[in-house]
Amino acid sequence: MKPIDYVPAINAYYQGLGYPEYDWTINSDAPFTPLTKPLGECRVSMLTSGGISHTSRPPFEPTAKNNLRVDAVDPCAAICDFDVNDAYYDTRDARVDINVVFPIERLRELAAEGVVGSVAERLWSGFMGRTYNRTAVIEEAAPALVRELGKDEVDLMIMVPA
Amino acid sequence: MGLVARVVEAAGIPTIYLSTGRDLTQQVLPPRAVFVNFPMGNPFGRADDATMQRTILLHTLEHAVNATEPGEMIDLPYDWGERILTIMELQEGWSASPPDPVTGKQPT
Repeated sequence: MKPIDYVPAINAYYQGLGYPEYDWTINSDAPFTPLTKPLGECRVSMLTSGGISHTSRPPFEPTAKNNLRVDAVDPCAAICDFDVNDAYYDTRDARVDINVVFPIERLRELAAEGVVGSVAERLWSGFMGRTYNRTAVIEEAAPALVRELGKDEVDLMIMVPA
Repeated sequence: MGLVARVVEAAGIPTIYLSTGRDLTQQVLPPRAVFVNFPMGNPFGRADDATMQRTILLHTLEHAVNATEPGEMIDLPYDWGERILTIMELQEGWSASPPDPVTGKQPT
């Protein structure tokens, strides 16, 4: 099955609703920081943008725009203690089994087996919804996350958009 | 989230990105990406399919180790097995309900 062309589909959808064309970021190169340790020694964290919140926190607003909220997530949390609120993807399977978008159990297992060195003190959930204010992401919210990852001595960050 | 991956990487923390939107990811160009042709709500596979979830997570971590070229994306060989619907197509039949005014949560 051919991958879906999301860019024209999204453009057509929002233009149909009367929005101007989205000014997509198109990059031609990428930063690159090599891993400095074998995977089995890496402390690994994970970020989901799937509107996933622990039940001790308020839910994410499902139709969020320019929402810079980023929650720290306890990697030892029970998988039934999460809410999923995100209007931008089909969340039905995530509500049955959070691991389909945020494989917290699978990551714990790999750490227990020594495939990864350890799971970081905190995982992350945020940056959900539609982003128009890229400057705020690039200049404030993402650097703030970087500082926290530094405190947790994260060696590798898994990023899973939804 | 590709923007975030690039900021984190540029700050000195390696990242690995699991994508279900191939063309979207190719535009933003995160430092390392794995594409799986699954729905956006199922990057790691189906509910309660721990084997597939683990497999995809392993592939993701493997590419983190093996990637050498900035922006390198690999395609996983798995097929979803049925037609993937976008949220926009799903909204025709199933509407993304507004949040409950009291709890703030999206009803199931």
